[in-house]
Amino acid sequence: MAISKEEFLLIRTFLHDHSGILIGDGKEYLVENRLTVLMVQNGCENFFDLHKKLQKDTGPLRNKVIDAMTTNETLWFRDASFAAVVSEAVLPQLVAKAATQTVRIWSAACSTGQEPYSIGILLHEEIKKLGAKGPPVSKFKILATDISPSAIMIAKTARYSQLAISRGMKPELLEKYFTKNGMVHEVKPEVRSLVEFKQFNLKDDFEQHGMFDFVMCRNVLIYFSEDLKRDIYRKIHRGLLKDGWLAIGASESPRGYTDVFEQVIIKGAALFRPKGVSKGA
Amino acid sequence: MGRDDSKMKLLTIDDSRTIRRVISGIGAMLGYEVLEAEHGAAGLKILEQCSQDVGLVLLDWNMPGMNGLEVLKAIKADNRWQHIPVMMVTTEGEKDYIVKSIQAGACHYQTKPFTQEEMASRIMEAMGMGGGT
Amino acid sequence: MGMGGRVAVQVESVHEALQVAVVDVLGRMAMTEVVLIHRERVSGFRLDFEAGGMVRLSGALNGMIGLTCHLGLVEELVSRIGGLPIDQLENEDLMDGVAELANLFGGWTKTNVGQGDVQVSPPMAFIGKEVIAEWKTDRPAERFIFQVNEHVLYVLASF
Repeated sequence: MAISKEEFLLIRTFLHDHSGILIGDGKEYLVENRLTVLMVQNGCENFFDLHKKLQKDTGPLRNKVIDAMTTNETLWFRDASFAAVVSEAVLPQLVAKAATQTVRIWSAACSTGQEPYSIGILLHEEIKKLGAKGPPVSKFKILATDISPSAIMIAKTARYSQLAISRGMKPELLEKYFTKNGMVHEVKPEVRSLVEFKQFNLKDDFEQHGMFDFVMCRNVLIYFSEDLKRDIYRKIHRGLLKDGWLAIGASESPRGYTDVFEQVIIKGAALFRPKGVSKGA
Repeated sequence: MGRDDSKMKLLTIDDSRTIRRVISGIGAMLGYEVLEAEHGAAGLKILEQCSQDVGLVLLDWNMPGMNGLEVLKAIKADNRWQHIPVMMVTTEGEKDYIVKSIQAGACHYQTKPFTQEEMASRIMEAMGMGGGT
Repeated sequence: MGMGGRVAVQVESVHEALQVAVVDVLGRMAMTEVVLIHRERVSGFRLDFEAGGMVRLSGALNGMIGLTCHLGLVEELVSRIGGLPIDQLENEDLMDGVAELANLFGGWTKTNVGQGDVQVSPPMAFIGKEVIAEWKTDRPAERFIFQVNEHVLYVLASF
């Protein structure tokens, strides 16, 4: 291992301060494997130098480091029970709402786009069930954000390989909502047009995004420290409409945030609704 | 950019057909045709024939015959090809190797293993994609 | 006789790096979850399932790293990594895939142990129902047993 303990701790602290990501003890190899190239490309002799450069950097290098350290692993309809509960509990309500207003959905850690496109597909399915009575799809807006600029870049292409597709996409939906071109599957425009992608750090201010009917913040806060988690849950609470929904990962729990969220178990999966009136803390 | 990136091809030079296949798949995902060579000499031959179509070379380090660094130097020493960006794609992750490659003119250095997303974003970066929209 | 303290520490660091290598390589290249279920000391470096591959490390570190498993797992991994359906894979693909895995495990371990100048040999690989390959070595080997989906993967290290 070429990275020293001190270098590791400096980089780890930097990452935590700027992205919220917490790298575990003994993960020196992770820093070394992912950042040595950036270190050399930026003319640094060692990780102390890189850390110094990062302190002075206003964005580009910082983004690259965060990008290299975040893993982009997402699945289509990650777990079946989540897809089921969204289809059965959340979407019908959102579709009903769309008769009178625009409905806004936020995929807060969208990685390479699987989650927002999955929701887009489920929405289409839900609207189709209603036939002529259904609202126009244009009444829905999905905002999809991620801290990693390269994940966002890939998400925007809406093109997926066989390997990426094989993780959880049902064949009948694949057929309906993707165009196959050789080994590549491309999301059809009717789903793509629902989603707007932006790079965004969950540590930053949420107010720019406005209010949402449904927020998904799944399997991301597990990498964050308790303080930051609490802060993010509170910001989500402020950005959710009173009758809105929050979805988090199956293995996550907003323990200690029960003052702002109420858990609702539907078909074995947990969703959360905001408690009280959404006001600043 | 002065060139039509959408028509550009990628060239992967790697003795492993598994890795060539992975890179071809990712290239296809991004809309690029990918040319394949299983060693350095074959790669240079492809450049002889159609360097004007090659927008990026993805180059392994450990191969039979010329190693990746030698191939990189050969590409950078030839004024017909020296403008073509070269990305090293290798299991060699040590600083020395990275320094040598960057000094010899590699634009990027991607260590194996990589995820499809990582490789895709490196290619997009090297091909100047991803801005706009 | 036996291993000196410093060498033993070095060998254990190779073993630790190798375990992470397997998880990282298969996780990133094949998007597959890998779990170590057991590790044991074995007397020889034997690749005794239907597919196997190995590389030698030489220089500041001297030894062998290899893997062996049933063909079913190789097919699944190569198909996932290369994006080709299993029925379109040829023997050549499987062999190259096993070789590349050995190469990736060896290369990753070399980089992350960071013991100075180490060369990784070109990989060797085989597939076939009746093959058992054994490398005679004067050192014992450590065998790591991983679960990969419903399959088992054996990874060996002899240093």
